[in-house]
Amino acid sequence: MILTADLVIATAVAYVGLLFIIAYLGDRQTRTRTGGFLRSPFVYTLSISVYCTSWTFYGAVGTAARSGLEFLTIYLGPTIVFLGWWFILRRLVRISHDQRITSIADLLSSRFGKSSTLGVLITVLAVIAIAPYIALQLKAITSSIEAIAGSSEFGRGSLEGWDEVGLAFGVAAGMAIFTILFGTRNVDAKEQHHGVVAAIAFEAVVKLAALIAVGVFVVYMGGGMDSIFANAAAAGHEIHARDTFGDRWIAMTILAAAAVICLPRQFQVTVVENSDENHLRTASWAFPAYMLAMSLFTLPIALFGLSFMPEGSNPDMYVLTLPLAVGQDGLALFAFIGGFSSATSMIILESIALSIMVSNHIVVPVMLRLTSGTGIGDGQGVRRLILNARRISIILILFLGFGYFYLTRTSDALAPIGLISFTGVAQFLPAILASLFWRDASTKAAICAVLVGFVVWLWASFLPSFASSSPIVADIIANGPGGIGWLRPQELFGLNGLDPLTHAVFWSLFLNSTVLILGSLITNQSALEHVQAALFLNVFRRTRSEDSPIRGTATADDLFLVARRVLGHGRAVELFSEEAKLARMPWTTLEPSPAFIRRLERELAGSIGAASAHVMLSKVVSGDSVSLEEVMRMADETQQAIEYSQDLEKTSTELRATAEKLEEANRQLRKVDLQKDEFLSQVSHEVRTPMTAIRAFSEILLSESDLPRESREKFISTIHKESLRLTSLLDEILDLSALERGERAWENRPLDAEESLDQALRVCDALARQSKTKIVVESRAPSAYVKADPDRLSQVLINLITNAIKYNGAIAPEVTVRSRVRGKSYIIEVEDNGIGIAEDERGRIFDKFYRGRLGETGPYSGAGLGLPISREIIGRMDGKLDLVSSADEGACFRITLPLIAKPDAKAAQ
Amino acid sequence: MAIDVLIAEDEPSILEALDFVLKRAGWSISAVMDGEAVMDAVRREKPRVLVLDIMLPKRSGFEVLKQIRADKATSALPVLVLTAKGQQQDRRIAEELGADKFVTKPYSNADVVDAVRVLMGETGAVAAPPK
Amino acid sequence: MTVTRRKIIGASLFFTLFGAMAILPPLILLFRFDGLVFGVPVETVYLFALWIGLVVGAALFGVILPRDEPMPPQDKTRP
Repeated sequence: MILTADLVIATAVAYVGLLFIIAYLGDRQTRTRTGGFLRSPFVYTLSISVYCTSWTFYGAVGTAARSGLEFLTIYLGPTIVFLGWWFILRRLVRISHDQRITSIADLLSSRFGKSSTLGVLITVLAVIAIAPYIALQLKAITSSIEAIAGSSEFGRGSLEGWDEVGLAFGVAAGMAIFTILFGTRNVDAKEQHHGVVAAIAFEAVVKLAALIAVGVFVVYMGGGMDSIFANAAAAGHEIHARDTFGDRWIAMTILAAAAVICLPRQFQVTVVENSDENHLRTASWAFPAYMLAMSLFTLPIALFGLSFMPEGSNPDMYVLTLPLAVGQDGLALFAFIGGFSSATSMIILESIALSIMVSNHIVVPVMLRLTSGTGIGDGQGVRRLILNARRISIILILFLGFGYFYLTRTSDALAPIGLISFTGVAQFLPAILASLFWRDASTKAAICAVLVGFVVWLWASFLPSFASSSPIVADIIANGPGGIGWLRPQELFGLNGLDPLTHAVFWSLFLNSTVLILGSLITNQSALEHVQAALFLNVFRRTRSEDSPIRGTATADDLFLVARRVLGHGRAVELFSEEAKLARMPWTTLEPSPAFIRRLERELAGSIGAASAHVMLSKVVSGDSVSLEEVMRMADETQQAIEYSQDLEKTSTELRATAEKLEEANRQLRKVDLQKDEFLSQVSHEVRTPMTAIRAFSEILLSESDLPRESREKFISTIHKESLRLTSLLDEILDLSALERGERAWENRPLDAEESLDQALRVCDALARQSKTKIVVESRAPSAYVKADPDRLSQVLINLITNAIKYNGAIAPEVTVRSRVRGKSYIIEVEDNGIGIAEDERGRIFDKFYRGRLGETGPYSGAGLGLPISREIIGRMDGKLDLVSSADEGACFRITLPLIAKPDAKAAQ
Repeated sequence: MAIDVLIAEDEPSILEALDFVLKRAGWSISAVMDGEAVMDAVRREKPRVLVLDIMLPKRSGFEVLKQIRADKATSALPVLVLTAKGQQQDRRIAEELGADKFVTKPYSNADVVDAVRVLMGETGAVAAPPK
Repeated sequence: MTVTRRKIIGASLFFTLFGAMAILPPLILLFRFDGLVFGVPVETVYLFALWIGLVVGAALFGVILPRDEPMPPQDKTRP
């Protein structure tokens, strides 16, 4: 098989025919609603891959050959954007869905008060900025055909006599026809590009397969990765040696990240054509993976080409010329189709996206201005006008691209041309970010900012690209306009030493953002801007808010007229009957509700853009926009709601902390409250028991007059005993409560604690003998001076020892008492050999009225105040009373008191 | 031998007073001082009425009451519950467990006697001592 | 540690910013030294390995990022 230009052109036409079939089938599939797979996240991802154009397919190898790893920035930037899909892309998709946004111009126009000026501006600038990019594709296709034509003697075939320009013109014309047939059959930009998307997805597969096929072939020919790198290094082509990671690396990464959001076609496929927000989840990794696969063989191809191809061959065409050079015509043809795929998909989508912007933001508004409110052409007028406007725009766009190609045809490389476009569309980025995240960004500031950024771009980036074809431009670059040095396009304000691309990116984006921020700070927003800003910012918060300030007294007839003109008869009837069904009345007498007008506006916006739809409906509904007061009122309401929720968010952390504190305090309070209840009920119980006995016996004594004397005396003594018990209980309660309040009814004075211990042991002796308990005094400190009250200290010791005796429960009960001096502390321990205190009781043993298991059920039931009182007393002596783990099973209480110096004899008295 | 009233109460002085008052009313009395002993005494002495304190050592009055109601032989035994705390909650629990009457400490002797009499099925003053 | 919706979003933001830092100087300069991995310069290997890592991470976040707030149905799906 001999490859000739005729053959490749025939193949290309056949390939286009195949695309048509795919697009047709795709459209039909969605129409019959069996097109499930066309709405899969993977088709969505593949359509996003239109990002990889012939710049990627051919140009990346060229960049790699010239500047090493630099080509990677074009893919790493978008990778970061897709990693962060949650923060930017998801918002864009949600907003565009809610507001039925049709293009990037529509997005900005809608956010900035439905400003038609901004829409026009963005559209015009986008068309200009994209021209170099279209030129790049034309150049790539032309060069690839030329490369094949030049590869053999008879290669030119019927191209004989055509030069490069003629060929490019032919390609542009062919593309224009193809795109018009493809993309302008329907009017609603929002809904009906499934066929195109299917074709684009198919092309994405073709170009990837072709590039990988060439890559694998090259690696095979070069003898593996390491030998390719080794040979290139030996020949002096070592990418490693180049200074790659400088300002240019940063600038290109930022540009690529901006471009994947701002390029009209990327916005179209990523945001407008998105049918399900969750597809972004898949695209967030699948699109970077796709770009990774596209870049995998770029370096080997470039390095192998550098060492294998003759000096002076165009590195941009290595993908094609390498297979040609070794006679692999089949592979070369496949590579050509791959490159053709990447170019056509870009041209088709870009010109569709741009043509929608042109018709919605320039043609329709002009038409509306030229006609009066009620005289908008005849029934089919608007639709036909829109379609024609789109067709003309496509032709215009392609031939702007051709024009740029013509003027700059002498420059060689593909990549720099693409970067000029990237820098141009990147000027939309500050406004887009502001629309997503900054409520106070104003329309005037946005317009100025985009304009300033664009002027800088025109001067510093666009203009210099004509230097090779125009001596005037070359002179301006060298000396500045009219010799004004600080206006030299690549050394603005005397800033030199930067790479020209970095220079342009820095000045344009810096001035752009500065104007946007300062401008927004010094201008005021209109009411409509306010509303729209709020809608954009709160896109994930609002449920169903008023998003159109159109209110009025239009009749259903008026509205129907408008709807029919824009949407077509069928869709209009559908809309209105639906509304009539909802309102349960014939639609001739329908009162259009604000919700319906809003819905209608969104429907119209899907066809003619938000700004035009708004103007159109405003005219019809009231012959005027809404009264200013009404708009202001709505704006205020929205404003208040927003501020309220923002305040909430701001203070939510604070609030949560406070709430936690409150909760904690509440828990404490509840606990204290419970404790109080328990205390009261305990006191009541403790008081009732002796009271019951006293009452019972008094009643007996009162009612029984014939009691024997001994019974009578016994009863009276019982009453007396119970009264004493009651008294001591009350004393204890008062004592404890005084102690707890921090009062101390005694004076601490220096004393020998050993003496108090002796005294306590003496007192307890009787009880011990009575209950057959052995008191073991293990070891004693010789003497220990502490500051305390002797009676109180004895009271505590007696309490501990009697507890140890009473609640012992062992068969051979034994209480061990020992005291010692440890450092500056004096320690007394009272330990018993009883059953001890269960683990779960240990924490509560010092609680008021808490009685251990034995205390509750044993023969001695105290009020359960002994231990808490003891602990309070020792605390007032600056000591501690603890329950410590004992060597045996029993309980062991330990008193620790601080030692003082032994006072002289007099003071001790 | 069957007795009239079994008293389960751990406070010696209260027990003494109850013993005196109920004997005076003409009934034969037996007493236990902790919760574990109640069941045995009920089975052995077959009292017509049980006077039960809630705050008993070893086994609480609630547990005892539950046990009595669970046992077929004793489930019909009329029980008068003495609550020291006099709290709604104790009363409610005792009621759920099947207590027949309540007296709250400190009570009047006459209340206890009346309550026991009602539980015995002897109403008012016409009741004659069973002996 | 409890994994809350906000923490996942925070982690995703960190991951994105980390990715941005890792491909830009000065971090990337760490890998600018003479060395070959399977015959390929170390900085090239680093960039591609990082890229694969970012793809894997993005796939993970695609699964775990919250899924609430579904989009209201498109108008065109109405009868």
